[in-house]
Amino acid sequence: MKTYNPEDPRWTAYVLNELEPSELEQVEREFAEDPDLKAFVEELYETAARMAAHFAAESSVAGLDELQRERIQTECRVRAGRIPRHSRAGWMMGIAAAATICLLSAWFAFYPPRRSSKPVDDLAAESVETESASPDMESVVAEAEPADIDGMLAQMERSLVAGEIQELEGLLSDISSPAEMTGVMAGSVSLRQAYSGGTLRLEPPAPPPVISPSLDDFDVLPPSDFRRVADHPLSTFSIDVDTASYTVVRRMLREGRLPPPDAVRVEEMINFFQYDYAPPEDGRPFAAHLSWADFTRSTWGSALVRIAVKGHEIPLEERPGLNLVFLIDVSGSMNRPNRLPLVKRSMEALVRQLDERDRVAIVVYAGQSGLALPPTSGADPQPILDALAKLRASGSTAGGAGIQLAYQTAREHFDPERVNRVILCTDGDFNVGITSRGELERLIEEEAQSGVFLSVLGFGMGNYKDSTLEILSNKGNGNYAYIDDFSEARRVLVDRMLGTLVTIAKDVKLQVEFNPARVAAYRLVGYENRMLRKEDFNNDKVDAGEIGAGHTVTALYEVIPVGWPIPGDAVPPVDPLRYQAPRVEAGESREILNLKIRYKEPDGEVSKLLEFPLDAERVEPDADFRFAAAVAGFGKALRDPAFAERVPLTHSLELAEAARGDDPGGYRAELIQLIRNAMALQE
Amino acid sequence: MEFSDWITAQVQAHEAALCRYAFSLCGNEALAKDAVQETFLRLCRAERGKVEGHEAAWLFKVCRSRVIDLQRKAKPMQTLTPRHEAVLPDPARTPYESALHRDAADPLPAMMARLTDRQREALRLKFQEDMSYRDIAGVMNLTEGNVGFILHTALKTLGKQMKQLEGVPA
Repeated sequence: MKTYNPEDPRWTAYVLNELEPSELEQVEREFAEDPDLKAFVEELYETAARMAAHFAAESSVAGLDELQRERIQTECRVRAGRIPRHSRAGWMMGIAAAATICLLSAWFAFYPPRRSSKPVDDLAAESVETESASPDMESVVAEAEPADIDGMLAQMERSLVAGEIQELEGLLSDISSPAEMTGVMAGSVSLRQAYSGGTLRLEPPAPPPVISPSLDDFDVLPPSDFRRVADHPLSTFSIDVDTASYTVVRRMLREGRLPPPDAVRVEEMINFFQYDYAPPEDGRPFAAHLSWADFTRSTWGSALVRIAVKGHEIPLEERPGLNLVFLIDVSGSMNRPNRLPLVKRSMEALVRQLDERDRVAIVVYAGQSGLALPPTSGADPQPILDALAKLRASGSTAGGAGIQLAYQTAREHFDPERVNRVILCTDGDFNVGITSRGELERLIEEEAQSGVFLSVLGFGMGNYKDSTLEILSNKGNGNYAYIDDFSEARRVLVDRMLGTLVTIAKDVKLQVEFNPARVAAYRLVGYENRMLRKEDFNNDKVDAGEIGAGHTVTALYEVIPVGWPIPGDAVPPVDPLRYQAPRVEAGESREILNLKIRYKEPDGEVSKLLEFPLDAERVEPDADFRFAAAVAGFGKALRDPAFAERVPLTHSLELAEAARGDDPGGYRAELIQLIRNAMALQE
Repeated sequence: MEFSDWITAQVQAHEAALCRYAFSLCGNEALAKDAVQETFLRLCRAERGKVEGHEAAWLFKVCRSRVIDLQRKAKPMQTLTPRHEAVLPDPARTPYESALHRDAADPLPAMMARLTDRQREALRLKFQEDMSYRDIAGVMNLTEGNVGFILHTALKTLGKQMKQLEGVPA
């Protein structure tokens, strides 16, 4: 038997997708001959995956300061030709020279310099504050071309910058706020801008515009702040039935790593779990149940409102036919045990549930894309299973072309009586063709117009591809799950097959109006990237989430009833208006809030409206409510250290343990283990 | 795309990654930020046609040389006086402290610390920035063959150490 050379860099090049096609074939032949080599390469994969995870989890480093960004922008404007470099006629120089002196005096009148004889470099070395300014100066000195007007301006700029640096020693007494500091810099910068087209305007340096969104126009505030009902009575967001974030978090915690905060989408964690909500009885696509309970004892410091939405359940025998296109990534990066082989097993499990009502086509994509199986009836699963078994991974990933072909196939065989859906299985690593996220988004958004739905199944990717896949599924009228093992595949594609594949309502939006007579402030738990503006609620052009058959969706609000102290991190109140009467008092209404839900039928274009007021008193929360609160507390603690201090993980652990209930499938017990893992990892 | 839009897009796309990379090279946050600022200033002055299409590789290469240059210049600098240090308190853990902190749970940082600087840098460019061998070679001034060899040795070494740690005979 041949023995391989472990020093050969081709093995790593193979793992990292760096081999030429000719080398690739050769290497694959060698694998076939040598099982030891295969094991060795498998180890390299393992190490590479750990490296990727290690770097993905690395904490971020401070970015540039505002001053530094401003400096880059200025340089950019200069180069963009708004201030031409070499085109000034000689006579202009005289005017400019005179004008610069004026400007200079105007400047110094504004910000009198402090005298200092120290060379600039020493000062830069001495003062922390000047560190950001020193490269600025170097570049100006290096550039100065006194022969032309621009050079003179550059010199001016230099002297001003130097003036500033001399000021810096006593800076703290002169400059009271960072905004003012920026104003100083912007002043020097505007010298170049002030001279345009031969006219100079003598204006004191204006501070840069501060973009502060008017609270009234932008409903999307940092969701981490409590909002006052008096100023923000409406809260609007899109439904989200995805569960991917929970699976990603689970995987990382099982491997002994704390997930990065951005990977934690609390609503997806809450919605991973099944809750026992009553289904609709009146022919509507879903029911909504509202309740609220006091969670102050449990250190949340607030009451919680629960919005429990339950989608209409469809019995398996009554389900509509499925017209599915599997879009499977077979690029080299999928060549890992938990990627393509798991994709195959997952799709096999799905295919085995199909019958004569259904059709399946398979599109594969790598460097090129192609139809691996034309639309085939589900009555006989064998041809579909054979086609799946034949798939092999190699090459680069042209995601865009594959997506186009998959949608084209789905469109050509579009059947209004069936569910038309593309199921994308990928690690999210698109690296050929359309790769920019923006282009992919636009492509999917366009294709979604055709009435074809999208399911994104993520396999084995590093964390940063997670956001790409989430956005693609949002744009494509779709849902998104992360499949890390066969149990999760079974949960998504077998146990909850209809929820995943049969959409019962699309563009589902929720708008909650709080009654200021009962509620002083509120904060939505999760849904950070699902927030909508209040105007979007009635705008049918604005896209939102889908809900599948039998899905349960839970949204929680932290609520401060009137009379309770408002937490310190609430958005500050707005003054009463001078020209408008204060909002009408809520009067006698005892309602806490009114929930409005807008949705479209799966094939509809016009939305329908449902309303559900909450007028009950606070209840003792049931086990489902308490468990959802435990998941919420856990997720929020992973996202936000300040929250973790207020509601420690031990608390969420107790809450979850006491609310386990019957726990079919053991998912709640699993959460309890994850909370324990996280506790062990935090200090 | 307008020139200024192009620059803005580059800053948005690469600022965080460059700061992280620069910091990994010098371990000094302020110096890293200065190097990144200079890198973008140079981008403003560069010929767009020569950079477009491979911006990331270009930026990382320039950033690397800026860090080395600034480090050389920074050597004679005096330490800050306590008065100046008090100006900018930073209560957060530095990335270095966080890395040390993680060590307790994760043996990987300690293993990586035993690699050479070049290996660590190549690993970062590969696994954090997802660069090809060719781009890494461009950034680090090496041949593609060198890069392949460095990465292979690094992965092999780490794999072996992990195996030992897990108690599996190597």
